Amino acid sequence: MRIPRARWTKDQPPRLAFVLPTPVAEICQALPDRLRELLIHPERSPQVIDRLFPRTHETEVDEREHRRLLGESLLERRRDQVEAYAELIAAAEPLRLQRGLRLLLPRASIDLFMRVTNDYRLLLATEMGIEDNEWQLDASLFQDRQREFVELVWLSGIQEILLEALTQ
Amino acid sequence: MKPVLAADTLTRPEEATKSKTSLGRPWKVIVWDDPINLMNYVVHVFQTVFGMPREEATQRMLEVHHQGRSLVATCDREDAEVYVDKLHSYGLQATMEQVEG
Repeated sequence: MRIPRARWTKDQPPRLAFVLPTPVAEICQALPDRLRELLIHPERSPQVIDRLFPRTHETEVDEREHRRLLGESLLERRRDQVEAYAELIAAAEPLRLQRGLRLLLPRASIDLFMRVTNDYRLLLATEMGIEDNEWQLDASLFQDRQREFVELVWLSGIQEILLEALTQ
Repeated sequence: MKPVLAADTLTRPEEATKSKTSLGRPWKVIVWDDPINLMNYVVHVFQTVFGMPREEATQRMLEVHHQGRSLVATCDREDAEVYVDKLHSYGLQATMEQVEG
């Protein structure tokens, strides 16, 4: 499979033309549904929710008050981001012969695309129980989570490509 | 909105001093290491949230990576909550704590 590639178009303002090969495109297309399910039913995945919405305060009293004031709005904001991501993916152009998708991302959308991608990476990593910085070095540790491991590695690559593009 | 002291918390001088001191002390924003966020991504987040130049953002990221945490801002409570909220929205682990008196 080809490594995804990205280049800036000559439009004004320029957009990032990003080709996602089929397996990666499928991950990106399925990603909104996974996050929607999590954000609509947060009680079903408390560990993942704790990772996406970690503690702000050291003390229980302050933390409880903070969550009481902001809890629902934080969830709502994340849901809005997922919907915006889904719109970007839905607007992508399928390539001929089912070789993948061609995304055209305005610069202002790249940050959102990365954030939602990262949320899904955090979901995968939490479900896989990753706690070690060197997790990428030994795939055999995740023999019963091969699909998730591959998805996580590919999405890490996508993020690196987008970050590189932002520096250009 | 900044917190407003109720009148009855200022009836005793020592409590007033403690309350004033507690309110006056700034807050630290701390970012914690985690195994999932990419190093370049963390640099991007620091640049975006704090407006740090790339070199400083990279230094802070390396501090997080090697030392497990980095103090990225010292400010008032309201600003600290906004920063932590933004860092969380990018998937970073961050907390806030009041500077010790």
